[in-house]
Amino acid sequence: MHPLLKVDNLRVWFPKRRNFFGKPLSYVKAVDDVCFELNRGETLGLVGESGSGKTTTGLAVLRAHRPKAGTINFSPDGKKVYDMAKMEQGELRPLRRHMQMIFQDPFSSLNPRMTVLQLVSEPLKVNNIGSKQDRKERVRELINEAGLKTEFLNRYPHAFSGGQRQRIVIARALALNPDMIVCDEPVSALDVSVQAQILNLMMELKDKFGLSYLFVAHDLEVVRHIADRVAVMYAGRLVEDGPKDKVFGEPMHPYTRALLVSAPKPDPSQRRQRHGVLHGEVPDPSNLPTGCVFHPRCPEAMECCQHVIPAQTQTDGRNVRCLLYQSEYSGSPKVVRNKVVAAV
Amino acid sequence: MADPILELKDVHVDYELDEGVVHAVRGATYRVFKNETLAIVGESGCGKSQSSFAAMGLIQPPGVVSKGQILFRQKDNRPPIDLLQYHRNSPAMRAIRGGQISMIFQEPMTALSPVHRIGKQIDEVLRLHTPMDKEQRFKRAVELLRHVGIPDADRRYYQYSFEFSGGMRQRIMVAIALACGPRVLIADEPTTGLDVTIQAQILQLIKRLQGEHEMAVILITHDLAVVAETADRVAVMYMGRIVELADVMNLFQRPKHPYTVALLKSVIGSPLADDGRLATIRGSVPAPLEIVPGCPFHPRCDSYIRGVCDKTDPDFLTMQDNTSVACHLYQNK
Repeated sequence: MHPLLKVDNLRVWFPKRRNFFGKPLSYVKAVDDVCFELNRGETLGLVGESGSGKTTTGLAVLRAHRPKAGTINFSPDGKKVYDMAKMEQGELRPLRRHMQMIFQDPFSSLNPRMTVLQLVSEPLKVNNIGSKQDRKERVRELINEAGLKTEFLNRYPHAFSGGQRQRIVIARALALNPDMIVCDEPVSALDVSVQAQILNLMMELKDKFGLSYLFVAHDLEVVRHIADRVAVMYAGRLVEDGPKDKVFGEPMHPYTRALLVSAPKPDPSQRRQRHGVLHGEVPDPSNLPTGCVFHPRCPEAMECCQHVIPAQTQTDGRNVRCLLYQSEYSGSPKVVRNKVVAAV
Repeated sequence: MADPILELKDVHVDYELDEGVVHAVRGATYRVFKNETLAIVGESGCGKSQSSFAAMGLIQPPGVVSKGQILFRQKDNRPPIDLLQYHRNSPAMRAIRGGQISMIFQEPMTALSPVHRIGKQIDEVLRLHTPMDKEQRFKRAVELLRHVGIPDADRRYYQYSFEFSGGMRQRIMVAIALACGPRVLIADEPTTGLDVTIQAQILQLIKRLQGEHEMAVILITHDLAVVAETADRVAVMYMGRIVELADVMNLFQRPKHPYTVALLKSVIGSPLADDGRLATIRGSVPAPLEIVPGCPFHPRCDSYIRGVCDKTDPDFLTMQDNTSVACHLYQNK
């Protein structure tokens, strides 16, 4: 049985400058050499700061971007495998019903001129499923699943609050019985109490319909709550991925550690002096540092980190890309930082 | 205990719209002391920003501060003045706003002017509030930029806001707010929209500067994790009212008001939250124009007492452990 989704060496580069004949001269390397797997019924949390390429990865998996290299093996039934990276839009069409997307902003992802009925039945209509009456019946069912009342069917999105709109978006995503849903920051625009409602709903629906989520988010607490496995991205590369307890409980990559230290906890008794606050900022993806992309900010950088790109190593039940865990480099001399970068 | 620097007493803010009157703030009472961080938390539309906008004289028509007192102490051991006696555009109010009470806004991109060099924007504050001459102001502005952690400050003085990253822009906002050494800093969602590593930098920066200037900080946020990390005391607002005000430890470990309890239970990782299914608050916040009789939270409250909560508004009472709460469960009558 093949995993639902297996991504290997995915590379999404956007041309930045082109020559006279339209050949790209330089690229913005939004996603570079990303590998991960998503199994059936599993939630993979993709975390990282803005500009880390997590959204681009999510969109590339749905082939909303054309990858420059790599494979995206999608297997809705577990038998036949489709490499979506190489397929044309026309060939992708029949596969599209197996994957859906939930966007961050429920205010801009719903067409203001369509009623709830039209919005939720649109995927069915596009795929020529059922008669008008059947579709309406199905929409009622979906709206109920999403926790909304069916008398709202003829209202327009403006009549709903953020949480209710996100429920409409979820109902629409479920319309075609997808196998995989890519969720791009689905709760970050919502208030906490509403956030909890939507997360609960998403977890219920996952169990009920056997969904798999690729859950893109920057909020580590949300990911800790909903995900089974976590992948941490930085500047277009995947730095660490593995089971949630391993990655969040015993982080190995220096960036994962710094990220976890930086995130405040909603519990004042755990308040601590922050020693691990990172200096500097995420690098510009069109002008990435050589070697390991994290080395200019890394508290444990070694001299070799400046020119060797770390390979994926499997250690202690997770994958990590850091030279500290590659035996041939692990004892190299550390970089001495003589300048204090931007006092905090 | 020393005198409070800023004290709000039963402040009401109303917006008179064509559809009716929106009561954005219905009786906010709180004080902030030197070197202290008071966090004001609540969900969107609860009036958390509006109450402190009133202190800055930033409520503009159709909004009015319809009732209450805002007492501000300009120097220690001096009687306070009531800021509401001054018109928002009066010279007295202008001298205080930006000078003695200053503010950091959520969106550094919209709060900074896109057409003025950032150095000039710091210079403006100094020009309006201090007697410094041009040269002194330039020196001070560069010093401020360096102080908030902007490398290469004398070159970046001449740059525009779009040439800076989000975190750097927020540092510039902090530099502008602190240019005149204010007594009160109001930080309205200062780190919302920033990445966690940058958020940590900015929060640490504010903390450090607070210590240096002995400022009172009012931190307005919806993020309870940021509150747990930085606040000394917390005021929880719901529908324009402060429902609970307590020390940060008390609030997170022994919350009293049912709304606070429910809110904390819905936050992942808080001491009250369960690991599995998150607790939620039933229903949703009523529309701004809706009038809820009695306690504003009673339609969503699990401990609602029929005939009491839907009839009378609870008083905001202080209890033994220095917690103030507005709830009928705690009114011993």
